[in-house]
Amino acid sequence: MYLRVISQNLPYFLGGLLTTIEVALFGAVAGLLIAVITASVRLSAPPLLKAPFIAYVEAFRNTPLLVQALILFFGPTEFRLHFDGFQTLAVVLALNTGAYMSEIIRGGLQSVPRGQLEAAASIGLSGRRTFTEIVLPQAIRAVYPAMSNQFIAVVLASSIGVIIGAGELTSRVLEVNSRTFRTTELLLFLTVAYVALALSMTTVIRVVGRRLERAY
Amino acid sequence: MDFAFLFPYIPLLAKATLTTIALSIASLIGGGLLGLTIALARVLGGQGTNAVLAVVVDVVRMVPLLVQLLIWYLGLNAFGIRLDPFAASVIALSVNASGFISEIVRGAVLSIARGQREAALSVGLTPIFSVLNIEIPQAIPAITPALIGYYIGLIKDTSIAYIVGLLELTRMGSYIANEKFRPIETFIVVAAIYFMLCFPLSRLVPLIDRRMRQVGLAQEKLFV
Repeated sequence: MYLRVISQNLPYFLGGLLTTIEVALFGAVAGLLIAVITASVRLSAPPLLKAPFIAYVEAFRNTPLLVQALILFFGPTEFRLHFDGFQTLAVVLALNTGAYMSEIIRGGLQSVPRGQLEAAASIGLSGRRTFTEIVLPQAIRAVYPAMSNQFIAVVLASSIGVIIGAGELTSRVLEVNSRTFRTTELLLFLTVAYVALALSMTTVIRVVGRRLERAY
Repeated sequence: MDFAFLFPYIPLLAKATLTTIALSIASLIGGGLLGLTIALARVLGGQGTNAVLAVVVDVVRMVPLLVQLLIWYLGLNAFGIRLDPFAASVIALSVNASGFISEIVRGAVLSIARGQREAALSVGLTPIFSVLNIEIPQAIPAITPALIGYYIGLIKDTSIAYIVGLLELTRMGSYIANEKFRPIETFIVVAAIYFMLCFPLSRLVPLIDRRMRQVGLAQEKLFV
């Protein structure tokens, strides 16, 4: 074990870890936004308007993230445009997460029993208050476990950034590996870093989850 | 957009598609067997076994597949074991799959009413016989749709083998795109092939789910 390869490059790796968090956070937040829009359209809009959203969801759910990233990364070069790896990764994670998350949200909104809507209407709640105070709180609780899994999945998926050179954690560690060939130490570090990241996320998720339950 | 330049590459793309399919099936079998073993060990074993395996499964699920593949491919190399890209990919995907499949099986078996096991033990059957022949068969309606859903993910995950240079669909696409400088068309065709593999399966899930639910699970009913 030659752990100096890690201590010497630690600031560089921590920068990569920060980039991983950054790109995953963007992917999750932008993806959530896309998902909410997609799910609302699919639940309420006329069929003709729904079609492009259905096509988007099915296209992104049935093809590999890596292929999506390669299309977005190399595709624009045919038009002499260039987006760097980080930008491409952020956009593709957002689109991919949006597609998966929209299905989760759609299921969550549909899981609220119709009787709840009828009860809200019968006591004269407006459509907006019914949604924000009756439907949404119940839907959030229903989708919370699936959604938090999705957030962890985004972090893990961001590791494909190494293929398009996004400068996140995996990219940086493998770049140092190609210079030093300290493969065992570096892969061990990479494993520990991702486990630590995922564990801290599950801790936050558990705390928030407990808070959610209490609010009733 | 003009796809005509891809015609001469159809044999290569077909071959790469077969590699992708072979990789996914081999990993499903490997991951299924390993996952079933882990699930059985966790259901039947003591607290110690369960705790150790829980940690293993968590680590497998918390490390990116790409990193796991590099560990099998590059990491083992450091100890003098050299796996070829296909073998490394099958092992990495199988181990990764076993983490998820073991949770699917375990969750389904645990959802079977306790009374089933108690009844089996009371007539002198062994615990392992009860799990394999009484509980798992009843859990199949819950396991099958989840397993097909997982397999769809597995097909897409095989694209990660790109990084070890295995000429599966994605890597082949990248090879053709570089040779012809036509990334958009090439990768759209590659994406379309993945879509044709995955989409029919994804339509199958709700159908099978509905069909199998009619068979039903043994539920805990106290006052019948």
